[in-house]
Amino acid sequence: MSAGPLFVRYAYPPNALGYCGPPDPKALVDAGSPDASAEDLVSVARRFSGAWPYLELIASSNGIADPLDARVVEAYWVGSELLEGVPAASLLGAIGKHPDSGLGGGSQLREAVMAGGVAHHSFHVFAVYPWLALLRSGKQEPAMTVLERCRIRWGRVEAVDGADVTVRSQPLGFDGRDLVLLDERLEQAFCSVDDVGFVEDVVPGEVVSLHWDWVCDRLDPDALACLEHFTARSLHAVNTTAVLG
Amino acid sequence: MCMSRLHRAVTAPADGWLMVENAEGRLHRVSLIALEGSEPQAGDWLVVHSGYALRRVDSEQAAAIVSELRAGQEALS
Repeated sequence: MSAGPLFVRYAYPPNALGYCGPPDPKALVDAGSPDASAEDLVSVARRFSGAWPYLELIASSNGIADPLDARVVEAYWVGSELLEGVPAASLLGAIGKHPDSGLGGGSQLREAVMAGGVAHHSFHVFAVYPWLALLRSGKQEPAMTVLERCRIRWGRVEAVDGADVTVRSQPLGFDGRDLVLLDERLEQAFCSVDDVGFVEDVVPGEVVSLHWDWVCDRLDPDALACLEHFTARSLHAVNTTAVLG
Repeated sequence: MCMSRLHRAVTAPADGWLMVENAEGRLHRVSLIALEGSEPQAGDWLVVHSGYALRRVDSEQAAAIVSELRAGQEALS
C-alpha cells in the first residue's frame, strides 16, 4: 500500500467511482507511486478537469511553478493561506472558463466570490456544481447526498474494524435557505479497498479527512482548522446568495 | 461547456437507472432521479455528474463538445 502524493489521496475516491479523471483508477495510483516520474503524475492529474484548473490558479497566483506542489494541492483540498493569494477577479475568470461552468450552478457566482468564495474544493462543490440550486428548488435528493460526499469532510475516528472505520462527523444540512453543518453523527468510511488505500493504522481518536466514502489523510490541528475555516467560508459565501434570492 | 461530463446513453432505462458511455468509452451506471422530462433512450446525450444524469444535450451540441474535447486531448498529448 502506498501513501502516495497528496493529490492522489483526494482525487482517487471520485476517480474510483468513475466521476472524474482517467478511466482506469489504477493509472492514478500508479502515477502516484514512488516509481513514477513527476511527469507521469502531471499527465494524469491534468485529466481531472475539476481540480486541475484550480491547482494551476493557486500555483500561479502564489508564484509557485508546480501545480502539484504539496502546498498547492493542500490549499485546494484542505485549505491554507495560499487561497488568500488568489485575486477574486482571477478566481471568477478561472471559474468562467472551467469545464464545469456549464453544469447549471453558479448563477450568482460573482456575489458568492465577493462574499468570500475562494479556490477551495468546497466552494466549487457548493457554488459551481448544480446541486445547491437543485436543493433550493426543492429537490432534496440526490442533491444533499452529492454535496455531502463530494466536499472534503473531517471527522474523529471512533472505531476501527480492519479497513473499515466509524467516524464522528458533522453532516451538511439544508434549513430551507442555507446550507449548514448539523450536529455530529457517526458515519462509516474505509481506509482501503483491494489493497489501495492512503492512511494506515488509524486508531480511535485521530482526526481524518474524508472524500466520498474514503479516509484520505490524517489532519493535524492546523490542517483541521484550515478545513473547518474554508468550509465555513464557502458555506457563508453561497448562503449569502440565498439571501439575495 | 462541460466536456468531461458528457455521456451517451447505451441502453434503455430500467428502474430509474441507465448505462451511459463517456467520450473515452468508459461505461457508467447513472441514476435518472435528477433528470426532468421523459426518459432518455439509447443514443441520447446527457450531462452527467457524480453518478446522476442532470440534463439532455442535443446531438448537434454534443458533436461540437466531443470535437472540442478531442482537440483538447490532442493538444495535451
